[in-house]
Amino acid sequence: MIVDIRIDDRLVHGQVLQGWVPKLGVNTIIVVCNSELRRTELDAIYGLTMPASLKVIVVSTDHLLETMDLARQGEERVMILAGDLESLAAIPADHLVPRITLGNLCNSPNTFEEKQQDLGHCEDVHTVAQLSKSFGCTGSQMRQIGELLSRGVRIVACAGVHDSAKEITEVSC
Amino acid sequence: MYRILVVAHAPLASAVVKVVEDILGQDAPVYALDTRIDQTPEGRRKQAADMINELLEDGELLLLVDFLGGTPSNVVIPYLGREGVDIVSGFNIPLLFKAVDWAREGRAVEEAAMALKAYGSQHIERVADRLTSKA
Repeated sequence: MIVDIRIDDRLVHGQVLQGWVPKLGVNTIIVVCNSELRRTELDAIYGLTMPASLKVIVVSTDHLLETMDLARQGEERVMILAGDLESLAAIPADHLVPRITLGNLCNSPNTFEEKQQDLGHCEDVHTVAQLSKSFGCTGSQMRQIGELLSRGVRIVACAGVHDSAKEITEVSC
Repeated sequence: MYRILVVAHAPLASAVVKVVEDILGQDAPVYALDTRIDQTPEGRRKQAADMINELLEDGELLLLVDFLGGTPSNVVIPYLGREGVDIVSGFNIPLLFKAVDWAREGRAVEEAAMALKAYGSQHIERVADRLTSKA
């Protein structure tokens, strides 16, 4: 079963391993990565660093839908972990359950410059930059979130396990 | 002499390197790479590549990371196969001190890394147990 679909541009890292994996009882993480070179590198990294009790599989977006279908039918407790929202763009809304959790997305390339540009298009600068106390994103990411919301996907912003989860029901831009 | 690069979640790497330099001297062959949450993944990898490649120009390199599976270890693990590089995760201050001592003695990095694992573990103690052992 899929217990969480998480967006975190740091992919598997301490906050995921030490916080979310034990909290959600995850025993399998499916990491989404479209670069073949990076997938090979991640396979090597995770092969060395992950605990034996945790299976980590790296897949491209081409194989994500079928992988999610298999995960949903299986007995493993699976986290889908993507580094960006684009990775989920082609996934039907009824597959993006139980919800998408926005973890960390403030560190994409050109984040600072893009925030500066997008801030000029919105009256409420706080809405563009921060969706919750611990989750910030750019204007273009806000629009991607809006697109997912329009498809009926449930979205929650929560970076760390001790953060208060904020249900995202609308975005301003 | 190998050099030591501490790679950890900010500000841990800088902090422990400062401790080492304050106690063992500013010429201790130890350097810090803090991974920060405001960096892009590509930025972190480039910063690590620049530092590691520069340090390797003058000899072997011991990478000390705070724990396996965190962002710092994810950044430096790809260097494990490089000649002259060894990696130890889960460092403590006694381990760092000994790593500097052995570097100054001219030990090879692989030999030091293998011995540091035991050394670091041995220097985690429950202090009250010392009272019992002396009784």
